[in-house]
Parts: sequence; C-alpha cells; structure tokens
Amino acid sequence: MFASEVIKVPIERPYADVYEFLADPLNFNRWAATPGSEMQALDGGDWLVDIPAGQQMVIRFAPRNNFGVLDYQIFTPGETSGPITPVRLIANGDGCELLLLWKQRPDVPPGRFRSDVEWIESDLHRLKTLLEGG
Amino acid sequence: MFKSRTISIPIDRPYAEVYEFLAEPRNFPSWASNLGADFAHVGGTEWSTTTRTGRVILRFASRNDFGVLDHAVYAEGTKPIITPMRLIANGDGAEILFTLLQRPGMTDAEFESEAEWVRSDFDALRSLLETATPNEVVFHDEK
Repeated sequence: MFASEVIKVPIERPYADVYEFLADPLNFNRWAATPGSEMQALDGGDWLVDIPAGQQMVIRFAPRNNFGVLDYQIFTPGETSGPITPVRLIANGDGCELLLLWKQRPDVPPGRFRSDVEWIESDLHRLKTLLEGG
Repeated sequence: MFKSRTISIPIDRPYAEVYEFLAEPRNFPSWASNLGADFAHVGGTEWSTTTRTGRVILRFASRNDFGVLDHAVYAEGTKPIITPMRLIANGDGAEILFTLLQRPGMTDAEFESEAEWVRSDFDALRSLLETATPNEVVFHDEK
C-alpha cells in the first residue's frame, strides 16, 4: 500500500450543477491541465490533452454515473490505460465537496509527492473560484 | 453547507475482499457499534434497526463498480440522511473514505463525539479484516 492524501475542496454551488460541469470532458481544460489548451477527442471516449510539462497525454474519464464518481486516468499516447485517480463529488447541504485521493506511487520520492499534492490543490482552487464566481 | 470531516482508513487487505465484506449489510453488526440487536432485512437494499432515538431504516447503496458504499438513514416520515463512503484500491490493499457532516441541530461536541465513534468502529473493522484469515471472515456473496 502507498501513502496517500485526501485533497478536498468545498464548492458553494449546487451538487447537480457542479457534477454536470465536471462530467463534461470539454470543461477539463478550464481548470486543470494547461488552462486554455486544446482537447482533442480520440476513439473510445478518450481525450488528448496538453499537460503543464509540455507533453501531450491521454486522459480517460469515468462514465457518467449517479454516485458523483469522477475518476480519471492519464497515460502516454500508445498505452492502453494508466493509474486511476479516484475523485468523487458529494452533496453538502446546498453546496458540494470534491474529494480526491492522491497516492504516492512507487518511485515517487516524498518531495515530489508533496509538490504533486500542491499542484492538485491549486487546480481544485482554480475550479472552486471558477464555479463560485460564475 | 455544513462543516465536514473526511476520515481515511487504510486496510491491508485486497480491495475485492474488503468490498465483498462491506457490500453485505449482514456483516455490519460485526464492526458497527450503533446498530441494535434487532438489525434485520426489510427488503431490497433496506434494513431496519432500533437506535437510541427509535426505529430507523438504513438504505445501502446497491452494488457498483466504483466501490461506493453510501448508506442513508431515516425514521418513518423523515428525510433520509445520506452518509458518503467509498472504498478505493491502494496498491495491494484498500482505503476507505468516509465523510461526516455536521447536520443542522448537531452541536460541535456531538460532531466530535460522532467522529470518535466512527473512528473506533473503523478501527474495529480494520483489525477484523487485517487479522482474520479468509475463512474466519464471513463473506455473503450475492449470487
């Protein structure tokens, strides 16, 4: 088992609105990846996206579901799948919360793990600002 | 929005085994302390029990591929309170994420006490699953 960290952001918008936003892959580059970058649809529902390191990666989102599960996996073009990042949206009163579990994969040193967590936190805060301001 | 706390519980046992155990409501009394002795199947995904506040119905999430193990609790004629819980694979083990919300009418002290109950229930679950050999843990598979 790997060390892990729960990253959580409250969003003051109705659960249904936030789920609709996040379940649409075309919104992904409005808060994650390289904001404003192109997203190109691939066969089988996958997407090709630019990531901040300047590479292109394939991203695959969980199918729509009634549980608020928004898992995604990212892998390099040519691979068939990658590690799954678990993400879930839960209702909280008239708002909601997005929960993500980030795991420290083998060969990732603690310092890199910490900086990945900070990256994700800042992405989630960008999402929060975007949705609460809109 | 309410104050919330997400508790994460690592369990050193394969995801599929832990999911099978948790997806079967019959296994709940072996680790969840707030269930009455009269915990019984009502029908479908609904079970009933008597707590200190009276008889309640517990509705469990139906089986799914996402590891979602939510349950809703309600008394006759009241709005269900949904508690989100999910099992996630982590290497050769698994991890539970459980989110407790401080509902209206719940004081800070009650919230803290509830969090402690949850923590101690999950400690019991963890030690049950990590120390039992597969034969000792009763898995009720839905066939």
